[in-house]
Amino acid sequence: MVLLVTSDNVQFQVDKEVVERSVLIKNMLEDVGESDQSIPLANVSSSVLKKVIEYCEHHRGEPLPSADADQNQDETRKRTTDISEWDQKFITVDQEMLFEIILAANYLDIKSLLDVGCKTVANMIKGKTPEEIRRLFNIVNDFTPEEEAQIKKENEWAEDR
Amino acid sequence: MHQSLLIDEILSRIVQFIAADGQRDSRHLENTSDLARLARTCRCFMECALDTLWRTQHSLRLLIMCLPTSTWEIHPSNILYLTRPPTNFEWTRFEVYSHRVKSFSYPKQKSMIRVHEDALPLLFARRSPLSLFPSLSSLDFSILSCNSRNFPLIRDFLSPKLANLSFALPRTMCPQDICGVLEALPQKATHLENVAISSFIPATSFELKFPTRAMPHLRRLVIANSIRISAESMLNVASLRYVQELTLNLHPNFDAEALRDAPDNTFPALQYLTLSAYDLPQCTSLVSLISSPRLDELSVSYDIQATPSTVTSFLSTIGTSLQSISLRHNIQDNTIADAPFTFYPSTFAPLLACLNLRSITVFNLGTLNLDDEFIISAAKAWTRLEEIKLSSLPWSFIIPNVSLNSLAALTQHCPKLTRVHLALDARDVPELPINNLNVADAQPLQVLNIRNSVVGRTEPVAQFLRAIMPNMKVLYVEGHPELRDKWMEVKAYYDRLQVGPLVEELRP
Repeated sequence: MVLLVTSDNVQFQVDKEVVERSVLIKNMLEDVGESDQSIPLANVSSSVLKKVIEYCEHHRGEPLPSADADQNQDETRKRTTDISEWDQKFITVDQEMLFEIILAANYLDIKSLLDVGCKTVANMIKGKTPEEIRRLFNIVNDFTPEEEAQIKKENEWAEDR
Repeated sequence: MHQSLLIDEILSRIVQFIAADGQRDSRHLENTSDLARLARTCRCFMECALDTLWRTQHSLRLLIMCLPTSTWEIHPSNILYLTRPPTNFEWTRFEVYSHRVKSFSYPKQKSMIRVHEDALPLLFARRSPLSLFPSLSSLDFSILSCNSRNFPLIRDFLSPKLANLSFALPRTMCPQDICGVLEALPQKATHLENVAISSFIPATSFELKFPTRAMPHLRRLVIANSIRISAESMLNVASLRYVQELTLNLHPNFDAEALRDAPDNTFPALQYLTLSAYDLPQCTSLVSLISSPRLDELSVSYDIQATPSTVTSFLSTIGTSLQSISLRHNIQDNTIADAPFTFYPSTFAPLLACLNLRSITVFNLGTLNLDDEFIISAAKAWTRLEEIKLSSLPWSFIIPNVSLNSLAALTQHCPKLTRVHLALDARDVPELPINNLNVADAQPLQVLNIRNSVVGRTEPVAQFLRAIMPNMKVLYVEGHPELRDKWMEVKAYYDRLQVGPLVEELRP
């Protein structure tokens, strides 16, 4: 078992096999060797880590994407915007939690979870106008009307298709 | 906005998923509209979205249209002309996008508007392509221009960043221009990995000379079939130390003897070789000189019919480690005047030592008169086989000594076999190989081309096929209509059969 300590100082005892889905933690454990020392995760809160552990538990034992996975595999992964039923249910959370999971997956280096999160955001963006995207993610429009018009004109070919 | 969207790696991942939506060809973006809208959301999203949107271009049209409208015009014939070279102050919007372009590649743009060939020299009159396209790593010059006058412009695109280069020799060839481009490759494009040269018209005695040690990254060299490189240039190509994949058309005067005294090893790193030649002995002598220990795939085609002993001689030089072999006679206008040679199993005996074969093609060599004994031995030797194509010349009329037993042996001993192209004598249906039916369900063989195989009663043949290859999806026939109808009957009956009960019924 591995002891993880979150940013809000909550401790989690997690199976090594589960926690090693995080490349960051796997590398840390390999560097440190057998030890009872806890691993502090200063960038992850307890509510987010709970979700991350739930994901890792569910996908326990599945093969990890290797660092030198061939390009074809990578292309297939990129093209597959479908998300499995379980992952879809798992990632159905409020927007704040969705982005926190993405941040945690990026920090902990859990590629498959990062993909699930990013695919979900990509699906939220698809088919929306710039204004709708701004509203959805609370984004300030930092273009002048002229700049926006120019980008629109120069990229009209892309919107026509 | 959540802070995660400010992290480049995360935003880039999201954008890649949007871009990949509906994408069938990695070279061609499908979902451009979502990217274009995302680019207008805010500056932070714009950079990443435009990088992806403009990464691969299929023409210069979109970029030229970002220049001030006073510099270009579209004629009613849908041709885009540049009216003058842009001044120093007119490049700003062009560069916003050109700096993002990493590849000019096929497919060519589908738009009706075509850039006139004269636009290129005007466009690059005051600014070099290198300064305008600093990220370019892949260039197919033939999508930018096919004009002879523009051909030398290729040199201005060469940089250490360029990894892939394709171009077509122009219709009107100026040897100095071509020589200039070829000489510049090792000097300016020092990291080239792939070079592909094609030609609009047949080119004979093409001089292709690279300094042997100058392009250490060159892994793939493809010279189109329409180009025959000069016999002298072969010496140079053979000594390219790092090339792993090579496609070549040998000159009729090519004599491999010239390579025997080559100072370096010949083709030292070769893994994949595709060779076209006037006759097979040219290929035999070339292949015999390959020093690479890792040759995996060999594809050879030749114009003049080869005798059985010539074919055996060739097959004796290929070694035993090949994974894929393709031997093809190109039918010429006068081929039909020559009586086809007959090839008996002994011709192909050297192939039985190639235990790693995954794919074998023997096509149009003459009349193949093989037999069950050979095919069964081959099936036992080639247990990794995925595809087999053994095909006589179309006008060879011979009933082969290959029965359905051979097909059963192939399915029995080659568990990865997916395609078979082989003429049979299916008039007699042998007893089913009951012992092997346990594995029949997993048989991946899906495509069977039986060419002009003769067939007797259709129902027993269909039952036999259903038992030995239950997953057949396609049955091709290349015979006369009557024969074709009989095989279609076989297929129709095959489709109606349920494999499970049949197998049970046939078990002793």
